[in-house]
Amino acid sequence: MSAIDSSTPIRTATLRRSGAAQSNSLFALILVAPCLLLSVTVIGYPIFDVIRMSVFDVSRIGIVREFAGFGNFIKTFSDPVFVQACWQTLVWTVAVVGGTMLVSIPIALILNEDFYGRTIARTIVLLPWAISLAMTAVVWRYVVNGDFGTLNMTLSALGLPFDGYPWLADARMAFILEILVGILVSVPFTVTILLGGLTSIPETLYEASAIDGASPLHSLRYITMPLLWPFMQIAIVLNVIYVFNSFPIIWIMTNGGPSNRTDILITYIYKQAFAFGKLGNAAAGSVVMFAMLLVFAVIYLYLTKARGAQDDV
Amino acid sequence: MAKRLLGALIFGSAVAMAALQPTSTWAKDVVRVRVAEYSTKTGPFFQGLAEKFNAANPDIEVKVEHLPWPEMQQQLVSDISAGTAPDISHMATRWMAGFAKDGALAPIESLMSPGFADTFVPTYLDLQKQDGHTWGLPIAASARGMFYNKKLLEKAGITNPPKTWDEAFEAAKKIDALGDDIYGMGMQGKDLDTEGYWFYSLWTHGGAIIGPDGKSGFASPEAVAATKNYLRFIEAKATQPGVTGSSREDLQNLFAAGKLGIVLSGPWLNAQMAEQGKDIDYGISQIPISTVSATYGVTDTISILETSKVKPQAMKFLEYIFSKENRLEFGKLEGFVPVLKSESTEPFFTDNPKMAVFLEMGPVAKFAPLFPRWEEMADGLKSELAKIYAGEATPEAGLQAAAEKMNALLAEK
Repeated sequence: MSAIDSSTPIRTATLRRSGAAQSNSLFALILVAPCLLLSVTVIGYPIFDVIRMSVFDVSRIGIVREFAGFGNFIKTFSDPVFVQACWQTLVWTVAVVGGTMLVSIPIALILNEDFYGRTIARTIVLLPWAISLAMTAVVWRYVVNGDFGTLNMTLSALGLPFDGYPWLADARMAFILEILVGILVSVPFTVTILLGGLTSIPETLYEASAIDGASPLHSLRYITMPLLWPFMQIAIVLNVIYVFNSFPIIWIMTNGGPSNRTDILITYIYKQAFAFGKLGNAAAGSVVMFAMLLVFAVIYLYLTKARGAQDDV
Repeated sequence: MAKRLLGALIFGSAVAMAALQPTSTWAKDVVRVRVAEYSTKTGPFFQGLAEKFNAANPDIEVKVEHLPWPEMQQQLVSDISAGTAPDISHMATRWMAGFAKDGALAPIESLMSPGFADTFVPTYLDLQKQDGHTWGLPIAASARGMFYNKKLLEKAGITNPPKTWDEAFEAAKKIDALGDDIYGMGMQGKDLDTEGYWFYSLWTHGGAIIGPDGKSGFASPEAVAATKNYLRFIEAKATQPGVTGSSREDLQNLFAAGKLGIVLSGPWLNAQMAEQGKDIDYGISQIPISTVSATYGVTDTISILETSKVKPQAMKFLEYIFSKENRLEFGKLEGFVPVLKSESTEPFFTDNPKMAVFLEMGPVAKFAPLFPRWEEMADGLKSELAKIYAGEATPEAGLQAAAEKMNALLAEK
């Protein structure tokens, strides 16, 4: 991004061929160089190392042995659990991000209205954000515990036949619960973005449309939604990136089980690296994940750039 | 001005030299020791040992770090690859094989004092040997037994704890019928040691992890019989609900809450019962049998790392840990089976009904094999067992898949 933005002034500067401007841009380059260097080392080196490990045979203690070409990738793709984890990652990401959007839009719309106790309501919605993801997952693991969990206690107190029902024993039910927890922890961030978007919609638009006889539903359909759409796009893309990579909920609640049916790519890779000592395979899996996320990162950059351009006009 | 500055500089460096000098002549050899926590008492225990050792050995300074078990493996892998590994590390014996094979551990047979190796119960020390080298010492050993809730057995009209699987099945059904939130026998289907729970049945049915042909024994007729043995408990609903969602801790919590009649577990459950299940009257007897008597033996290892520059000093501390009195104190604290010959005759172990069974079962204990790829083989088995317990695969098909995975990994070597 920054490279694209800064190219314009540099080009005009060189066009003018003025010595002062040239030394100016050189000076600017020197000023940003330490920062650039730091970013390249801190961000670039781990990426380089993962890519290197993915094409070498690596021992469990990280000693890089002979070149393996695409051997690690072939091994990874021929593992049925990896393919299964890919599908589950897709389900997980789509379900959590989709669910989060469905829940967050009405919440943001309500919180944007002026009502008594709005500050308290906003704080409550943001609260899950303040608790660490790992802790939330631990709490939910206890809540859904079959014999001692508060969920079953509550349901049985209501007279429902859930006494001792083992929620996490069935892979499908466990995955649904994990998705629900995933939605819960993604809502605060999403609501914050959407609220920002809603406040940026000028009040005058609503007033004008009300005078023209538009019902609240009409102004929601024809004013709020279209103007909120760019913010929704960004929320979706950022959530996809976060959720795709999210490790603690699944790791703590089910460890990927039963029978790997709740494993997603990141838990699969973790097991490959730290339980099985197959660092090469884990690196290959990471590269595949990196490539997938890169697509979303590019989409995000494209979206924010498009927005930036709009704002300039 | 410049002169004064120069003077100050010279004086400053002289002070610095003087300050550095004594430390280098009195330099102590620092030995970093990392232990995993069995309980909240583990860390302080080793810290105390280090203090006593440091006081007696002024030229060595032992520094103890303690970590929770779940973090140990990842931490050790990252530290070894980053070159920041401690001098001594605690680990599960089954990880040791992989670390030793990759050259991360130092063989200790030449570091040990003469006669030191003979103080150990041979079964446990032999497990630390591979390819003609000793890669560590057995810091903890445990065998498993059958814990039963005396009151629930009595209520169900059972006078003697079950000795065979058939008796256990009948007992579990009767106990389970006592009430809605009372379950017969605990059956593990999730997380750490799920495969271990299955080995009890495998070995007591005469099965083995490795068959006589050197290939996986997971799909042998004995293994199928062992699995069907567990399935009948699940199908008769004589276990806790949701076997595939129950970890070892879940079962132990149910037992400590008095909701479970029978559970197979190790001596550490005694410590949990002393805290959380004080009012539960329970007994411990041998693992039920079908054809042969067996139990699952597990050891943990403490090793010196190959990268250590103070190996002899590290060995000295290890020998200190494994003195009779220190081991006895550790055994009493954490409830592990003795690994030293001299400990085995102590009344604490022989006369204690909560410990005696584990000692009795020692001779029939079987161990998981020391393959570098064992974790992966066990994970494949665990995954198939979950399918079988959930009724999604037949024992034959599921075990066949687990055996094939294991054989493929064996062939990879």
